[in-house]
Amino acid sequence: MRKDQRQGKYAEGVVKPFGSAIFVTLTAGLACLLLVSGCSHSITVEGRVPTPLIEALPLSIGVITQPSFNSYVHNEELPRGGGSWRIDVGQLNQRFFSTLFDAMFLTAVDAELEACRGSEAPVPSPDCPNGFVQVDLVEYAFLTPALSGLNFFSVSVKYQLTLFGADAQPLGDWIVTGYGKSESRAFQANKALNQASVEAIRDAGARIAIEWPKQAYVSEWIDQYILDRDGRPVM
Amino acid sequence: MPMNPKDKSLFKIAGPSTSIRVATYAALLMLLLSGCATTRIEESRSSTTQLAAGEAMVILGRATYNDRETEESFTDCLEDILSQGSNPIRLVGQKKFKNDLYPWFEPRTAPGNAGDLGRLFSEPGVRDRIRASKIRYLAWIEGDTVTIDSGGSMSCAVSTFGGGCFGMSFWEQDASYEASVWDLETLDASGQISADANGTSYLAGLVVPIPILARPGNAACKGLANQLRSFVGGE
Repeated sequence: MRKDQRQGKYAEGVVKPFGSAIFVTLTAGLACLLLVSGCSHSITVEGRVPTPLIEALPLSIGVITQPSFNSYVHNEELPRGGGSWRIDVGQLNQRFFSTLFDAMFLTAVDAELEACRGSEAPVPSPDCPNGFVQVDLVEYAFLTPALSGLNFFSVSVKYQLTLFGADAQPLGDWIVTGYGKSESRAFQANKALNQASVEAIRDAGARIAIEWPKQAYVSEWIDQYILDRDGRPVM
Repeated sequence: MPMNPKDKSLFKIAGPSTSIRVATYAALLMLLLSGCATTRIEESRSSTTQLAAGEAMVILGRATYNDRETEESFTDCLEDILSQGSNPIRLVGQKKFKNDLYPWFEPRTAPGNAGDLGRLFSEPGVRDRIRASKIRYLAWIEGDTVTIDSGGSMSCAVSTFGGGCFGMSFWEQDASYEASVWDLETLDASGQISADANGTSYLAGLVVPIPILARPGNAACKGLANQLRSFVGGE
């Protein structure tokens, strides 16, 4: 065999496997990237926080939230290869409920319950609000299309609202569940879950704004602070 | 590199054979015969309508908590068509409307029929907010696109030397939507428009997959949008 032919064959032999090697490496890399990104999801739930269009109750409220509420992160490993999910709900929770209670009451402040223990309703201490509401996130749950068999990401959030009087005594509690869902689109799982989470929080917020003041113990608490024309409490 | 005259034979082999040509003609024929959707539009009017200059309309997709829901892409499509063309309609976006009127148009709290508008408008701020935006008509969109039949088979293979798809698959879709138009001035229902479209899509695998899409959802969107435009225009 001639030298140039051998060289040609040698050159061809080098180039082809080298090209295949690049292709295989790229394919394997892409597959690994897809596998890794498909197995691990990290989301910080973000969304617009609307100001509720409701008439504010003529009361002041102290809003009590635990650190775990404001920094709540849901971690879950889904079965059947659904991957691991880390969902930061706390940041939106904090903003959402702050806006919600600002709209629901004349004044809403972050408050310490202990500082007002011993005050007597219906004449509150000047430094203490008319009452306190403690909000706890009891449960956050979600379903992916693979688990539900539907073409939606679904989210439910369960909150517990506990009302305390001006004297920091508990008056009652109420559990509210919000539900949200969002269409599943290819390669947009995080976006869909974010949207479903926002919808769920909005749904719970809507129920709190409309239904919570109608609960019997809340109505009674409101009534004792609403004054008649003579400036006396209506009992 | 100069071409070897012997390589001419390769072109003959690589050229379209009779069977491929027949298949291509068949695919083109199918495109002409079946790659389209049939649409039926029906209108029912209960009062006269006329969108005055400066007045706006809002299009809302009816959300439910079951597994069926009007797709956001459908209401987006309606908005795109209605806000363009020779006779564009001023539209207020769905998200902006829901945020401005939160919590009154959430899935759980939105009025179910025009009879509920009176109760809704008695809520503080609602009437003023809608009047400020000069929203005259509200169109609720209900419905979805479902696959009612599918069949055929196609297999694809990929290797380092290339790949291809062979076979034929089809799916028949039915798009059924209804728009309920409410007059926010008279707080009454103005009428209903329904759009039903049906079409069969094909995916022919001739080495390269050739999609022949009927897109009944898109056909229903165009039909409903044009009818909605003439409806609120008083035609």
